[in-house]
This record gives sequence, C-alpha cells and structure tokens, in this order.
Amino acid sequence: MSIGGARWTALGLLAAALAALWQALKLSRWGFDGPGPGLFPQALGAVCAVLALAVLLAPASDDDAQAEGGGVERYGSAPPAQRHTFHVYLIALALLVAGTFWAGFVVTAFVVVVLMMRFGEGVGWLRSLGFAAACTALGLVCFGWLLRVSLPTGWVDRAIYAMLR
Amino acid sequence: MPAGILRFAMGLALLLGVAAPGVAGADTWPSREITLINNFPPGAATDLTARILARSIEKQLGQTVVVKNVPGGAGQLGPAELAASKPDGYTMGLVGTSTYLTAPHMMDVPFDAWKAFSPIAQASELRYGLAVPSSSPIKSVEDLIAASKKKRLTYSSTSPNNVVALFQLAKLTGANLRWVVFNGGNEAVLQAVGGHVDAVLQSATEMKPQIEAGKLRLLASASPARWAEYPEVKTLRELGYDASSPGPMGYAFPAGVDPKIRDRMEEAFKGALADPEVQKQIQALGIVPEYRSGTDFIKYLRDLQQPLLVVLTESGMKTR
Amino acid sequence: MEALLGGFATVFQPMTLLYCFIGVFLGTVVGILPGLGPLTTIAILLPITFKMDVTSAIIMLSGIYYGVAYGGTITSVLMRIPGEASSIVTCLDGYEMARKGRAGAALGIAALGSFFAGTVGVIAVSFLSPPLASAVLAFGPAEYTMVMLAGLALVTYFSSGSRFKALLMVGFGLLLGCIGSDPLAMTPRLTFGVFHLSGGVDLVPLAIGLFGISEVLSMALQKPENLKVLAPPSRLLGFLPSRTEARRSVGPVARGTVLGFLVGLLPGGGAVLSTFLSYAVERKLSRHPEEFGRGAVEGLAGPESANNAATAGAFVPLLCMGIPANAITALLLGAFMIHGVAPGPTILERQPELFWGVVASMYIGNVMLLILNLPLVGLFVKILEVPRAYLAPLILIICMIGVYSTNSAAADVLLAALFGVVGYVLRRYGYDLGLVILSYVLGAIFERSARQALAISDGDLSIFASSPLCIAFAVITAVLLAVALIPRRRLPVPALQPPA
Repeated sequence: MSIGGARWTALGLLAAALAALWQALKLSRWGFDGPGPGLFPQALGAVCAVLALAVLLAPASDDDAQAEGGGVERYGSAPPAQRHTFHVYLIALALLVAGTFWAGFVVTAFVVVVLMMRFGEGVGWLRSLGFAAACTALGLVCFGWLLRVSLPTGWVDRAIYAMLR
Repeated sequence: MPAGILRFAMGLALLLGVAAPGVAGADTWPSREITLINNFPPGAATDLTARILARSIEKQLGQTVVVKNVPGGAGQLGPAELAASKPDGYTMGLVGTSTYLTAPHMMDVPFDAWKAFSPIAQASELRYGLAVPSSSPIKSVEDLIAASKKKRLTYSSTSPNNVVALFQLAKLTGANLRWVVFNGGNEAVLQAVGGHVDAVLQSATEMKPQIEAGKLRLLASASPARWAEYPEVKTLRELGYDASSPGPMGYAFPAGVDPKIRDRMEEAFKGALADPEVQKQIQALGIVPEYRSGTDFIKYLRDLQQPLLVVLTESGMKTR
Repeated sequence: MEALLGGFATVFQPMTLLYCFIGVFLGTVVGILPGLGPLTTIAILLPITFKMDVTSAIIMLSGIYYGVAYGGTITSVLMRIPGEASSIVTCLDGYEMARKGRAGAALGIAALGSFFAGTVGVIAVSFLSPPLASAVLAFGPAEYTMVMLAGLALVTYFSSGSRFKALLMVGFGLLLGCIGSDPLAMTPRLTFGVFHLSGGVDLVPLAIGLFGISEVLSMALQKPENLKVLAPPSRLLGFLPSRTEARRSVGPVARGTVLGFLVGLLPGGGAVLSTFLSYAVERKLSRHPEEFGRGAVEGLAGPESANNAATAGAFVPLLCMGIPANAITALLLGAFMIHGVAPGPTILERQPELFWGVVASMYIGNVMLLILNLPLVGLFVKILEVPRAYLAPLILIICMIGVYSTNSAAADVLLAALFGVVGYVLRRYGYDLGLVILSYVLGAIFERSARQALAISDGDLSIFASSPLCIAFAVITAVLLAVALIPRRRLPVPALQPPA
C-alpha cells in the first residue's frame, strides 16, 4: 500500500496534534478553583491525535480520493505547464514573506509581481515590469498614503517617503 | 545623452543617499515623520489618547506623528518592537505598569524593560473605581467587606494592575473576594451591570456611562485621588484603607537616544498636556491627563513594584 | 414616530448627507479590500472628526461600519477572498455561483438581501431598542457557554464529508483558538516559545491564508482558458437574479435577518458568527442540501442578510446602554465620548436628536449603499475577465497589505502564507476549512466563558443550569445533536465536489 497524499496529510495532522499536546502538557491542568490553562488544549490535542490516527488508518476507497477535492485543482492531474506556474507561485509566496520581513513593500511587491507574471505566466518583460510598477504605485498611493495603512518599510520605501515629504 | 544620464544617475544616487538613512543629528531632529507605537487595537481608550496627543505634538514639532497599532502579545508586542527599534528619535511607544512590572513575571518578554527604554514622560493616569450593580443591597465599602465575610463575593476586572487595590483591601480587612478575569473592560462592566458578578473594578472610561445611567453604584475611587466626575465619592484611602490601584501611562524611546532629542520630546509632551483642548478631550474619555517627567515616571514605577508583585504571586499569575 | 421624522430632518441637510455618503463609500471600499478593516479606517478618520459636530461625526463613522458589510461580498464572490471576516461564508457558495456564470445574480441577491436586512435591522433598532438592550444584560458567562455549545453543535450541519475529517477540523480550529495568552491566567499557551504567538493567531491571517492564498495557489493549476470561461456575459441588467433564484432567496433572507440581528445584539456574537449560523440553518432547512458548497443561492442569501442585520444589531447595546458589542462599536463609543456624549440609557431623554439622527442616517445609508452597489455589479463582474496573469499577483499583493496592516507584523504575513499552503493541501484532500474558522471563533469564547462561570460558582457545575437562558440553550444543543444523528438519506456525492 503506497502512501498517497491523503495519508501524508493525515500524518501531518497527527504530527500537529501531537505537537500541540506536547506544548499543552507544560501547562497546569487545574487552577486553584477551576480548570487551568492546560485542560482544554490537552483534551483537544489528545482528541485530535486520535481522530487523525483514525483518518490515517481508515481504509481508503478510490471513490473517496476522487470525490473529495474541495473545489481546488489537483496538483497530480495538472499538466506540466500548470505545475510550473504552481511552483513559481510558491516561490513568489516565499519571497513575499521574506521580503515583508526584510525588504520593505516596494521591493517585495515589485519582485513578486514580476516573478509571477514573467516566470509563472510567461508574460513579456515589458508588460510584467509595467504592471509590477503599477501595482506597487497603486499600493503606495492608495494604501500607504490615502488610507494611511502601515506598510512594511525598507530602505527604498524610506527613500521614497523622504522624497515625497 | 550619456552625460545627461550620468548626471541624472548621480543626482538620484545623491538624493537617495542623503534621504535614505536620514540625518540623525539632534539639530535637525525631527526631519521626518515620527512613529508612535500603541500597544492596543484602534479604538481602545489608550489608542484614542495617543491620537489626541499625537495631533498636539505634531503642531509643536512641525512633523507628522503617526500612530502605529501593534496589538497582541498581551500588550507587549508593541514594547518589544519599540525595544528593537533604532534609537534615532523617530520611534516612540506606550509603556506602563504592564511592560515594566507585570508582563516580565508572566511571560518571556524579549527585553529588559528597565534597560531597554529611555522614558520620555508620563502622559496620563487611569482612574479606577469600585462599583456594584445598583440593584445590589451593598451600599458602601463597609457593606461589601461585611457581606464578603458571610459569602465569597466575586468582582470582574481585566488585568493585575487594576486589582491591586482590592488585593490590598482583602489583606487588610480579611474580606473574601474572588477576582474573575474578563477579556475587555466593557465586558467586565457589563457583567457587573447584569448581576453575574457582585462588583467591578475598572477604569472610569468604561464605568462612566453605566454610573450615569444609574445602573452601577460607585462605592469608592480605587485611585489615589477622587474622580473628577464624582467628587463626592471618597477614595479607599480616605475611607481608611491603604489601598489603591496605579494607572500611569507614559511614552518612551528605545534606550540610547540622544539626550537632547529626548529632552525636546519631553517638552513637547509637557506642552501637549498643558493645552486645555487636549486636556478636555482626554478627560472626556474618563482619563486623567497627568504629566510627569521621564525621571519622575520611572521613580513612580519603581515604587509600584512591590504591591504589584504581591498581586501576581497571590493570584497565581507569577510564573517567571 | 415624530422623533424619527425629526431624525430624518437632521440628516437631510447637504453636509450631513455628504458625510453619510463618504462614510458608506469608504466602508464599501474597506469591505472590498481583504484584511483592511473598518477598525483602522475609523480610528484614522477619528481625529478629523474632532472639528465636526458630534452627529455628523458619528453618522460618517457608523457609515463606514455598516458599509463594510456590503463591500466584503464582492471579493468573496469574485475571487473567493473574504474581504471581511463576515464574508468568509460567502466564499463558499457565492464563489461557486460565480464559477457557474451567475456572478451578477450572486452580487445582486447579496446587495438586495443586505439592503432588506440592513433596513429591517434599523427598524428594529428604532423601535425595539430598550427591551432588547436589557435582554443583553441577561447573558453572563454561564449563558455564553451554553450558547457557544449550541453553536458548536451546529457544526455537525456543515459538512457532509467524512465525519472524522469534519471533527478533526473542528478540533484544530479549537486548538488554534487556544494559542496565545490564557484568558484567565494570562500565561502564554501553545506558543512553542515564539513571542509573536503569545498574542494568539489573528483571524485575519488565518482567514486570508486559508481562503485567499490557497485559492491563488489553486488558480495556478487551472488551465488559463478555463478561467476565462467563468466570466459571464455582461448585460446591463446582469445583476438580476432568475425567477427561481429570487424565489429561493426569500426565506433565507428573512431568516438571516432575524438570526443575524439577534446574534449581533450579543457582545462577542457579531457578524462572523451570524453568517456561519445562517449558513448552517439554511443548509438544514433546504430541500437541496447537496447543492451547498456548489452554488446554492440560499447559502449566499442567508449569510449576506445575516451579517448586515448583525451590524445593525450591534448598535442596540451601543446606543441604548453604552455597551459596545465588538471592537468597532467600542471605537464608536470612544468617538462618542471624545465628542462629549455618553450613549446609554439616558440618551433618549438627554440627546434624542443624536439617537434618531444616527438611526435615520442608517436608513439613508442603506439606500445609498444599494444604489452604490447594484449598478456597479456589472463593473465588478468584469474583474473576472482579467487574465489570471494580472489578477493573481494583484490579489497576492492585496492580501499581503491586508494581513500586514492589521498588526503591522511581518510575522502575520508568514502565518498567512503558511495557512495558505496548508489550506490548499487540506482542501485538496477533502477537509472543510469553514469549520476551522467557526470553531476557532466559538472555541475561544466557549472556554473563556466556561472557566469564568466556574470561577464565579467556585467550581460548582450547577451554574450551567441556573437560569432559563442556560436551560433553553442546553435544550437547543440537545435537539441539534439529536436531529443530526437521525440518519439522512445517503447522498450520492459529497457536497464539496467540484462539478465534473
């Protein structure tokens, strides 16, 4: 019996439940006149672990795997071109996170858009760069300036704000 | 053509080079906008106070002051971010008893409050009060103490800081009082009005509307001074119990800021708190605008260490 | 009644009408943008209102609040990204309707249902406020516990897939709600030593990650041609629902309005809960339960009405008692106070013109919103025609801004991204993500209230049967569980399967 994606997922959930249980066990189960911080999470962690185990070990029917798709496209049945786009999107997501921590809004937004369009979708350089610039500008103006929303700041962002103010 | 581009590029580089790091000298401060970190979500009384103060400071310093909300971490995510910011005088944040006195004993905060901040000034003081639902037979603090000795009484409040007065009261008189923790000030007050707990100890901001409407009876002020709105109600101290809850709120820079910059910001706060318009708006929220210089603020906080430690230990909240 | 007319007189002045319009317009915009909440916008605009008179200020700020309930629908239906927490449920069926080419009808029904619910809600606020406000007081920790228990029992109505998987999602939702500061002892829980988590996992990164980002990843795998097919033919009156759809929406709208209003009254209840409850109720009552999750119009009409009614309901405790039902009304309360007004039981005697002015503005605001939203449906629907190459990056950037701006925390963006990937995997293998959100919200309140109740009663469990309300909800819970266990006709296909 090969371990299909469904079983890996259940295994992952089992691991998460056990991790939660481990953390919860550090807390006291009973406070001085009522349940303590640990009672609820411990109970939940244990229950989730049992449920995950049940799902893991349940006999899988092929209909089940086919039928349950949750409305998302399936990686397994997608053509290579689409899988490539998926990979690029994942990388873009990773860069988005990293950029938010270290690179500030302008750089992150620009790079992510260009990456997704040029490499993920195969759109030409000119249009990718242009749209990326438009998105970044839109973000800065509408959100950063008009709506006064706080955006991640980096070296480039500070330079731009300094020029404008 | 190439020379033109070269010149443009040099100009741009120069511009960016000058603009980017921002000149940090005290003489040109403030040369760009200042960020004020508030530790609670928008709409909390502290947030509104911050916005009122920010406007006044903007006028005095001639630079925009932007309120940045960094809620979470039980109110400590903001100070954590402040402690990690560059001490260039462009980031300041809210600090109070929780940052200095209670949070370090309850969780692992990534900073040592006494060393990580350079306090600017105290800006306000929350006033606390002890109240019962108006339908309650309890008419005074003495009644409360007597009733609690017959049957344990419950009271609602949100944080260890607020309940210092009642812990002290219980110690002094042997009253049997149980603190039930609630998530928000308004919720704590609502539960008392509905009679689900016997009393409430919260700040004036949250209690005022209910007292005015006659749903709550204010037994005493739990602060060192009486409430401006109800001057006839005595404080616990005046009633003979040495009990009161602290409520100072102030602002700080990260440690290492140029003392000249810090002094000028302290002046700005002093000016803001002297403005009658600012005072009126803050008072409308039920908060007392109160100015203390940075050094006085720190001294005030140090004096509060012991009483708060007692609350934490006895309520079982002290875990570090 | 004359007082209400007086209120209208107050509002029908050019400047006041303008402020009302600005408020609802901003609210719609904020609602559309994922993650950007009314809270931040209201707080930012607050100082600007210092110079305005209190009635106009409150009218404008309130407009933002209930305008949001309209705007959140748009991105939910068109892109499966919840513009607001209250639009998460709309992502389930609203988006599926769009995929079937009924985007215009979906938006139209949502707008009309929202208008009906909003208006009825305001009527209820006008005339039922005082008795309702006192009813709110009756809910103490024990009552809340029982209400949440009933809510959790409703969970069984949500998913028709594997029971174990559904329970597992509920369990994880509850666990996610436990992360952060313990509500009573304030010690950090389940934080794995990460300081950022000591504040808990926020709803925004969770919802945007699970729903929005996972959808972007899914979009990557779709063939580009398929995406274009989703764009319906845009007619001028494309927002008109078909006769069947209209007929089927009437019941859900009515039920959603009542349910939403009642849930919105309760502090801690709110729009999120009302939408989930409405969805569950509609699913249970529907003659076509297998359609839920695949574009059932009831699954859109009910929740959309519920969230508007809930928004109106939240004004009752605010205006009549000075008790805010949620963070946004708390902010509005603060705004009142700064302007020197204390809403509360005395407001009808001391400042009736303020009360009626705000109420009248809510009627007018709802009309404005209907006028704003309906004709623009055709325009909004055009968004579906934008090629994925442009749409996906734009959505991702907007999500990032929305998540970051909530707490100014880059760590939240990381959380959202992680939830996005996990969300995609879970959806792929048939797990229902709506359950995670529902139990996350309910679980936190449930545990907190239960422990508070036990603290009050000194460990005595009988407190949970100590009032008529407690018993009533206990009975409801029991009934719900019993009915759920009645074997249903085995459905040939689980509800969440995409059309073949």
